[in-house]
Amino acid sequence: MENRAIQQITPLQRALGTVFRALNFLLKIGLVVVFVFPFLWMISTSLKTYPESIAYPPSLFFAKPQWENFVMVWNSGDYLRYARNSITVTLTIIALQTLVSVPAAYAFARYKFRGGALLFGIVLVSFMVPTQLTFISVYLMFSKVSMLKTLWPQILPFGANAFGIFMLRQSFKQVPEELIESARLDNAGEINIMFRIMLPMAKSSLVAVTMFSFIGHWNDYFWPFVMTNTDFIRPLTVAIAQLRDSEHGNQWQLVMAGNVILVLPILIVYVFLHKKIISGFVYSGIK
Amino acid sequence: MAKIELRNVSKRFGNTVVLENLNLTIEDGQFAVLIGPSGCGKTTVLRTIAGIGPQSSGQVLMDDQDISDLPPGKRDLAMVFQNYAIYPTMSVRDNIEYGLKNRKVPAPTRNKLIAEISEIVGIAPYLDRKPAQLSGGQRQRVALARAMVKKPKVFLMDEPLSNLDAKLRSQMRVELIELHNHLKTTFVYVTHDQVEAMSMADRIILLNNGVIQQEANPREIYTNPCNKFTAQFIGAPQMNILPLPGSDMSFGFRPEKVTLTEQAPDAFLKKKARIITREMLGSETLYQLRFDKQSIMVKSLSDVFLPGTDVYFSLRKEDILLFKRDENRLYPQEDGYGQALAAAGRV
Ligand SMILES: Nc1ncnc2c1ncn2[C@@H]1O[C@H](COP(=O)(O)OP(=O)(O)O)[C@@H](O)[C@H]1O
Ligand SMILES: [Mg+2]
Repeated sequence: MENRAIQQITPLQRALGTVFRALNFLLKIGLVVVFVFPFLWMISTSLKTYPESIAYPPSLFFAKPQWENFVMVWNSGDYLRYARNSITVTLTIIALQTLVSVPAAYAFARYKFRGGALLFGIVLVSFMVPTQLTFISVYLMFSKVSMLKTLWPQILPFGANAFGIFMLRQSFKQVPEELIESARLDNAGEINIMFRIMLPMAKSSLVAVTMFSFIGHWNDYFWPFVMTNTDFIRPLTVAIAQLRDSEHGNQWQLVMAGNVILVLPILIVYVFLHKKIISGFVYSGIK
Repeated sequence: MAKIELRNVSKRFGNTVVLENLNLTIEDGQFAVLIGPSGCGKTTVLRTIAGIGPQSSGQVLMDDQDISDLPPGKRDLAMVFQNYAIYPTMSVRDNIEYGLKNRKVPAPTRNKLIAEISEIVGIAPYLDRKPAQLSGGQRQRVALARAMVKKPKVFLMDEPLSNLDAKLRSQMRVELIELHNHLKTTFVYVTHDQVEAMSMADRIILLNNGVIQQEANPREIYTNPCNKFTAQFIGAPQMNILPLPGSDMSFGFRPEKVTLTEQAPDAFLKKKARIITREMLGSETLYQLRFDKQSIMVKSLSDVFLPGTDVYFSLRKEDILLFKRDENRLYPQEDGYGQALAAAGRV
């Protein structure tokens, strides 16, 4: 049976199959190059000397890795403070968002209440409004309450995450009704059902949403740039961008070293969580 | 152990009336099987008893106490869902333990109960697995264990075997019967499979369109159906029902009550017919016969009759059931019975 099936494949089909596999492979290589090359470029530049970094034609290679670049960046300002600001801002945002998104998504998914659909619509719309439209009024607001010298202008506007609420609502909705009924027969109250039954089933989505938010806010440049006017409260992104317009011209090797420092925490987190993140997007419900 | 009673229970979903003034009593310790075609309201009845799909009106009583306003968790009953509803993120042990924890049962008692029950249903080796690592049959057992561990007064089961393959199904059927004999708890078991109903039930409750057609033990419901629907729903192949000549009534007989002969026999009802098909079932043979543009099914121990040949089929008087125009049975003590039966004999 199997033998016959193999014999029925004509040489043409076999040739086409090979071509298709080759194309498929090339396409994947192409994608990898597109995504990985800038990354490699950043790392390689961060280890170059200044002349190497501006050499023409440019090259991916350097004579000797210049680890001092990293030391120079770190010592060029109060990087400990910048890093601490980045960490504080990002983690507080994540904590606030989780605190707000989980109950909000749960309510949108599980309860019918007056104005529920309208409220959810507003959440979705707010997800689509770019921050570039709102930053001036937000800035003025914080200025009025004299909070501009604190980290709050970088945190509070992101206390709720519309995308997170949407994603979590979808995965709460996927939980079969019978599971909840079964839990009620098991004498579980509403809070118990939310934390013991529903949230574990939405864990992948929660991790994915958190990761996205983490990366987004960690790498955010625009918002902290417009919200801060003193080094004391600036995060890493803004500090590193300032390396570029320091007095010695464009010291690309230093900017890139700064960028490597910036993305390192994200890489570390990703290495630990990438399985969860991916499954958050392919999670297809329950058998 | 408990008696369950539904009084004038109605259930509506928007404008759809699923149950209307349903009255039903299930005695303490009974294995009651709720059967009926798909969509007739079986699950709705079960959910009403459980309290997870409250009735629109009417009362649910347990041991003569009105429990209509009691939340599901306080009703002292356990349900096995059709799709098992096992918590996918919890291990088998946590699944079974969840209800006990919520009832604040102390840990030593919990562990003892889990050990005992998982031994009975045969899932002791899988306690630390996740549901995704179990086969369908094993999941079914987990659902059963989760219900049993609560030692409820009533078990509600919604087509618990419908997702299993045939072999496992008949095995589990026997195990459930043994379980009921052992626990002596009230079982309310929903199925659309009449073999399950016939083999397991103390009492069969046949439902159609939310209305109880007949409530009786399996033997009674098979031999003495009270209307045409019951007569045709229970039994496979289904009862033959033919119009009664010269009236708007009809008469019926079970396929296995028919005798086939080559020569005209001396019997109450006899008729010559053509064999259309023959289906060998092993110990028995199924024939389809045709006469006067009518067709009947016959189940016979003999396999010698060939399609295309003519035979005589015959019936005894006592194997013929009569149905009135409104599809209800015409019983022997009722007016016009003798006359109608005689008409059937002359078919
Ligand atoms: N949540 C619901 N909303 C609307 N109609 C429903 C709902 N649940 C059940 N029904 C209807 O009620 C009827 C009985 O359903 P059900 O009790 O599930 O039938 P069974 O279990 O006998 O197959 C069906 O016609 C079904 O469409
Ligand atoms: Mg059902």
